[in-house]
Parts: sequence; structure tokens; C-alpha cells
Amino acid sequence: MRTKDERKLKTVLGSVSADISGVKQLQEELLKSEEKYRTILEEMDEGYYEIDCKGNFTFINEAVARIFGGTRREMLEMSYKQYIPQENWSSTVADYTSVFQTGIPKRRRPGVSLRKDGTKTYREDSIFPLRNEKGEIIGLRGIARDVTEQKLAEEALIKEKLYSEAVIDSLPGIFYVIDTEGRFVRYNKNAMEVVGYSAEEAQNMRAWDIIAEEDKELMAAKLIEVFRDGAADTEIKVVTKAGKKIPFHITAKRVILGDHTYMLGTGIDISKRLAAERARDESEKNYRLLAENTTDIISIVDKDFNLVWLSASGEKLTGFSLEEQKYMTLDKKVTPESARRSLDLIKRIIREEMEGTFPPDRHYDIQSELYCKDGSTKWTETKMRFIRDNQGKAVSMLMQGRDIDERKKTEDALQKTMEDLKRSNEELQQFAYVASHDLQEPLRMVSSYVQLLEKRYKDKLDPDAHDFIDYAVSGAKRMQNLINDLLSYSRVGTRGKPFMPVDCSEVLYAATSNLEVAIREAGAVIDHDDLPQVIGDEGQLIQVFQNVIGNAVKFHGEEPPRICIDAKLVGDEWVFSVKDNGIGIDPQFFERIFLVFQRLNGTDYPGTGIGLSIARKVVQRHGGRMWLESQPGQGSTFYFTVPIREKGDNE
Amino acid sequence: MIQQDIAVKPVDILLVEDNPGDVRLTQEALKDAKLKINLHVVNDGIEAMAFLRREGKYAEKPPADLVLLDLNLPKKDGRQVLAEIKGDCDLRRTPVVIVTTSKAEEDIVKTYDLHANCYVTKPLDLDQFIMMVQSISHFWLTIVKLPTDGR
Repeated sequence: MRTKDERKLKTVLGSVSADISGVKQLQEELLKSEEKYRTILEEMDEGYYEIDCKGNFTFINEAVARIFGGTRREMLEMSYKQYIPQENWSSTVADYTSVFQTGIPKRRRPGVSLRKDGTKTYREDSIFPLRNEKGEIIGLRGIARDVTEQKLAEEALIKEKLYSEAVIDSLPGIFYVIDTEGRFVRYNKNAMEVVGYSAEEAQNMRAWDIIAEEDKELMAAKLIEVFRDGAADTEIKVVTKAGKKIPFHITAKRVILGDHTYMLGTGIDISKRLAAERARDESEKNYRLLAENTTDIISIVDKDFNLVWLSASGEKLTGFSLEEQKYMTLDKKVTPESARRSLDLIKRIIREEMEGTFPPDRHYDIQSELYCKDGSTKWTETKMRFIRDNQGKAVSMLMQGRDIDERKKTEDALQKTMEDLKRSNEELQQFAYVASHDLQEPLRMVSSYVQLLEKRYKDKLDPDAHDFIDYAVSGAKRMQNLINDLLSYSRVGTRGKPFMPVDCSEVLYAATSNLEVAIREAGAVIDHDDLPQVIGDEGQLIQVFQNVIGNAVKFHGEEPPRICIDAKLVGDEWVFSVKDNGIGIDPQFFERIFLVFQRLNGTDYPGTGIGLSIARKVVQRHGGRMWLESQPGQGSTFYFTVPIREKGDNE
Repeated sequence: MIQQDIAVKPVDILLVEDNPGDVRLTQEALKDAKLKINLHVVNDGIEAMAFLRREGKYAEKPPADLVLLDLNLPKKDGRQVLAEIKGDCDLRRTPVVIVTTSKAEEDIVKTYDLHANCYVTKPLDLDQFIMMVQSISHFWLTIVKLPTDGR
């Protein structure tokens, strides 16, 4: 191997030695020089090779064997193509051919070569022509450098750069790097798209050129902050080329690269968030406005029933502020009676909440009498409703109260009026009762003693005296009738019997039986259909029929009375009608005839004028109405209704 | 007061009435009666019970054969007097006629519930009044058969 190498070396240096052959000194020098070059060749990191005109290696140094992963022996006489991937053959051949033909050395760009084990390496070649003694080009020699490491590092760098650019470009927001002068050093695609400037335009721009006028001062302050403190963030409006302002949340960082300081910023478009916030603020403002200005008293208590929020109306109502009310115990807030009811309700709420018997949207109602700062009290009515989390667990309670003081006081006044009325009614009953006994006795005395006078002194009285006595007696009798009628009328409401099922046919029968004499005397004919069963007071209903039919019999015209009684079911009530062919009534008196002792006819027709008053009062006690249709001379039809009701369902 | 007649055994009627006019009318009505009647008059319920039980100043009075009882009386109301009479073993057989102005149904029901023997209202007409008093005394003292040891 060595001899071969020596021979090769001699060939390499052949042209040099040719001129100085025969000179011993020169030979020695030559030997020294040859030794030197040989050492260089063998020790150098770069590969040195020689290729003949067929492309086979005729010489390689150790470095070439290292580069290609083979041994020198096996590589000699082999074609260089062996060590080049096929796709590179043509370019390699072209380069070699060019040097071979022109003799001009060529430096080749780093290319891929194959190692013996098939792995790739990167090699950089410089190729020179190889000439014989005559100067003819007989092959090529080349110096090869393994640049694999360098190349891989370069590739990794490119990859890294592409990667980071991809990352930067795919960031949801904008990304940019500016230097201390505000010039854009880097930016991502988004940044370009958002502001709408081209790369050329951006080149001559400063960061503040894309900031809204009103935010420039803020921008300056923030830049100072970043370069001084290392980081800052802010919300700022960016102006696009088209003049549109877009709010961004910018986070900026100071980065120092070598001698230069940069600011690296990322920004996120917050217009949607701001819009949502604005909408929320607006909605919250509305709610607050509503809550604060509503006359309703809105309050929120936590799950332990501690007051946490109170509307202005709530503060206004009692004069105690929220803060004052927060620390007031229940007995300071409401009257003892209301406190007791509140506690009962709270217990109930807690129990139902624990038992789960509390339906999701059910609310509780309570009326409370609140103490006010001025010492007065006010009634409120409050609806209480749980506010629940997503799991349905009660987290707090919303209370919606209403000032019902006026209503309550009106109710109280009404209650008092009712009681007064009841008492006055009772007094009236008492009066009526007294009247039935005590008013009649003196009357009887007058009547009886005038009559006794007449009886005893008959012979001593002149005809006038007898007339006078008659007037006195009939006056007393009339007075007695009035008192009795008034008593009957007053008893309708108070001495009525409980309602029972009543057969109206029987009622009619009883009524006409009571009127038998009058009916017979007047020659009245009474027609009727089947009458229904109703729930009512039989005795009183008999009175109604009797009074109305009695009137029909009494107020007859030339013709004998003809009375028609009927009942129709209209809606949920029976409408009874009693139609006659009597003298009729002028419509202007329709209301008057129902008033106590109001009579339309003089002494032609007997009676006090209580009958219809009693009838209507009975009908009203039964929950019905009574009215009439009539024209003078055309007869009258009296109507009255009796609502359908369940047995035992009283007035 | 009517004079006692020794020959015919007189009947004793107790009139419980606070109105002197009615007392007088009753007396007038009984004047024409064929019976020998001793009309005893008391003006209130307490006196009435004392008379019937022959207490105090009434110790010497005879037992009443018939009681004419008004309902509205001072001190002790007629209903209470009625209840006491009918609750008393010695008095309950004595007929009690309620004579009153009231035509009120509840008064009628209530007094019969308390075992009144009958209920009549005082008529306004004098003749009717006289007839009423006479009818009552005639019916209860001559027609009706009462136990002989009723007293």
C-alpha cells in the first residue's frame, strides 16, 4: 500500500521533479519536500483524491476514506459515482466534464454523498485538472470537505425558523417585534391582515403609526414601561389602514438580543369581549336601574338569611340603610307578631328545603309589619324565592316586597267598618226585636182603651166621636202592620234557615195555598211548568213566590188575573218568571217598588208595600237577582234567579 | 183583686204582667167570666216565682191553677220563669199560657221547647183581646182535665 502511495505521490509531484532531475541537492530537497507534502496529505482533514479520465479513483488520502466510510484499498479503481446518489450524477458529471475539458478549476456547492453504509453526508468539493508531464489533462484531482455537521445545523436552523414562523403566523392574535426606535422588525401574518398595510408600507412605519390618536399617550407610557421594567400590558386601540379602530389587549416583553433591545408584543382583538362587557354592563345597568327605582322592595339574603343586598326603595321605605339593616336583629326590624310569623316561615323553608319538598320555582309569601326609623310601622307583602346554582342548590334568596301599608290600613279600616256594620246590624236586630215587643204594647194600649172607651160610653158619644175612635183604631192597626212587616223584612237576613234542597213545585203549592182565599176571590188562574229543585231556604222561597204571586193577584185589571210561572236554566242559575196580565208598572218605578213601604197605589189596593222588598232580599240572600219587565196596562213579568249550588253551600 | 166567693170554689189565676194597661184589660175581660176567678197579679219574674213557690209575702197565697205569662218582664225574663216552672216537680203540671205581643217565630218555637202549654199573642182589637182571655180561662179551667193533685 505504501509503495503504491509513493508511486502515486511521485506521479503527483512528477511535473515538479521533472525540471530538477539530476541535481542531488535538489533531490534531497525534493525528498524533503515530498515528505512534507505526503505528511500534509495524510494528516489533513480535507480529503484529497485523484480520478482518471474514466472516473475511477486513482489516489485517495485517508480523509477521503473517512468521508466515504470505506478503506483506501477498496475505494481505488472504483468509480466516484458509487459515492454519489443517482439524482446527483448528472450535475456531478457535468462539473467534472467541464473541468476536464476546460482545465478551469471548479468549486462545487455542498452536495450529498453516500457513505459505504448508505448514510448521507454533505461534502464540499474543489476540483482541479490533473495533467501529465506534457501538460495534458489526464484526470481530475479534488479536495473534499465533509460539511455534514454544518449542513445539518443549517437545516435545523431553517426548520426552526420555519417552525417558529408557522407558530407566529398561526397565533390567534397579532405578533410583532419592534426595536427601540419603534420600527417593525418582525410581525406575523395576522398583524399584516389586521392593519392592512403591505410589507413595504410597514417597513417605513413606526409602531405608534397604527395606534389611535387618543391612545398614543398611553402607548408612549407603555413603551417606556416595557423598555424600563421588562414587561407591560394594556388595552389599546389599533387603527387600520382603512381607519377602523380595533381594541386590542397587548402584552409586551422586552427582549435583549446581542447589543440590541427589542420589544416583543402579542395582541388579542377584544372588540367582542368589550361588546359583551358593554352589553352586560348595559343589562346590569338596566337591572340595577330597575331594582333601584322600582317601588318594589328587592332584597337578597344569603342562605343563612343574612341581608346582602337591598334596593333603594327598601332603604327608603323604612329609612334604615342597607348597612343599618344588615346588623339589625329580626325583633328590631319587625313587630313581634311579624317576627314570629317570619321565624315560622324560615323554619318551614329550611325544613322543606332539607326534605326536598320545595318545588323549584315555588315561592313563599309573607306579610310583615316593619319598624321604620321614624318610629312608625309599615306593612309589606313579600314574595321569597330561592336563587339556585346549576345543581339546583339554593345559594341565596331573592325577596320581592311590596309596600301594602295603605292597602293594609284600608283593609284594617274596612275590617273595622265591617265590624261596625256587624255591630250596627246586631243593634238593628236588637232594635227590631225590641220593636216587635215594646213598640206594639203602647199601640195596643191606645187601640184597646179607645175601644174600651167606645164600648163603655157608647151612649154618651156623638157620631163624630165614633168616627174618631175608628180612625184611631185603624191607625193603630196600620201601625202594627208596618211594624210587623218591618220585622219580617229585617228577619230575612238574620233568621234564615240553612240552605237545603227545595222542590220549587212544592214551594209554589205552599205559596198558592197561603193565597187561596185571595186567588179564589179574584178568580185568578195560575199556569206553571215543572219547576226545578234548588238549594235554598224553603220558608223564604215560599215567601218570594207568595209575595210576587200575591201582587199579581192583587193588582189585576178588568180581566180576572192570569198568572204564568216558569223557570229556565240560564248559565249556572235558574231564572224564574212570574208573568201576569195585571195593571202593569211604569218603568220609572221599577226600582222604587222594591224599596220598603214604597207603594204605587193608594188605598184601592191594601198592603204596606213590603212584599217585593222582602222578596228581593230573600233572592239576594240566595245569591240571585230580581227585576221586572212591564208596561202600564200590559201586565208585568217578575224575574228572579237562584244560582245552582251544592247542598250545604251556604250564602 | 176579685173578692173570694166561699160557696163556689174559686180558681186562682196568676197573671205575670208588667204593663198595668194589660193588667187592667185582663181584669176587664175576666169581669164577665162565669167562673169565680181570683186573679193574682205580679209584675216581674222574681215575684212570679216567689208567688208560685209561696215564698215570703206569698206564703199564704193559694197555689195557681193557671199562669198567664208575658215574655218580656223586668228582672227575670218570662222564658226563664217558664223554664223554672217546667223544671220544678211541684209546679210543672200547672198550665202556663204565654200571652205576649211577639209574633216572632223564634219566640214561639223557644217557648214550646220550654214546654209552654200554649202561646197566644195579644190582639190589638179590644173585643178580640177579651175573647182571647175568656177563651183561655174557659178552655184551661173548664174543658181541660188536669190532675187533681196537680197543685
